[in-house]
Amino acid sequence: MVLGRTFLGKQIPIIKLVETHLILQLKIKDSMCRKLLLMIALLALTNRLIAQDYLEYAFPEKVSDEIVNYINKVTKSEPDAGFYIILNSENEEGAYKIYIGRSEKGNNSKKDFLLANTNRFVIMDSLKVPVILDEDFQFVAHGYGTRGDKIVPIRMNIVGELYFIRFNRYGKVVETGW
Amino acid sequence: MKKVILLVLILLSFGNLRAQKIIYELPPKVTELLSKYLSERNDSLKKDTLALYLEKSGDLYQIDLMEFSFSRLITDTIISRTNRFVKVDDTYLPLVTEEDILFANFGERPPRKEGGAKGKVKILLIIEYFAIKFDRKGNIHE
Repeated sequence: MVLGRTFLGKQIPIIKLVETHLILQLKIKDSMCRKLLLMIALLALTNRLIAQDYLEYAFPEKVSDEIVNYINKVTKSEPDAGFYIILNSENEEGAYKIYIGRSEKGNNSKKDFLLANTNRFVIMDSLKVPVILDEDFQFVAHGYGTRGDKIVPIRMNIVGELYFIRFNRYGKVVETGW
Repeated sequence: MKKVILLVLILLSFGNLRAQKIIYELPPKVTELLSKYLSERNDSLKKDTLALYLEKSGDLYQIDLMEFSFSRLITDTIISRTNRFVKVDDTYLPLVTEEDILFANFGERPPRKEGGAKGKVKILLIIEYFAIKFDRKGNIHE
């Protein structure tokens, strides 16, 4: 006697039923996986397109050369080092200063917020370095505190010595140092 | 059900990779003046074509209201990409900085001489609109 079920008038043994069930389940899983993979691929592609939607800065050639030289010098001894740039328009008209900082996650969460979200980048020699503006420190509030009776925004400042490049409106590097 | 949760988590993780808005908080007196100007001219202004331009002027800052629709280059290169905004009442106005105009890559121009280096497209921005000059402490100067 064959144990099983009747399907379209035919007696199908249990073992076959189990096989069929397994195959069907595998097929369903396979198609679900494919759909899922396709969705992930589409999302990744969309995200890639969105991620490219940044504002690219281009510094004068000699300034870019100075930045690349400094970064190359550091990465020779520390290949995994990350960098960021703070761009500062000086009080004197037509004078600019770039500070090059080392991005070390977890050191300063407020700075990390700006680094993670700034969508200004400078691209030089396959390097993509995030740019933070001096105004970001001046006008972005990182929470609120009290001063006397007033509620005041908490601003952020970078402390510590950073390598800087000072240049003028004609792209001439005027000074470099710490 | 597990797959749905997984998909939601994946979607959320992709969403998180996008840059958040960076909101500039200008001194209260500056925001009040901007708010007053915008509400007085509410009928004649198209708020979706307005942006703010922030520049340094010696020790002072200057914020200018600008209508960006006149320049496709500024709209495409900066306005559509900036994630810096100033909140005035319920409106988030896109912020353009002096550095954006000076250093943003607006594209290249062909070399002036054959075999010469390519030039860069630069913009000279002159705004004659509503402007406020203020210092670091938030005092209005002009």
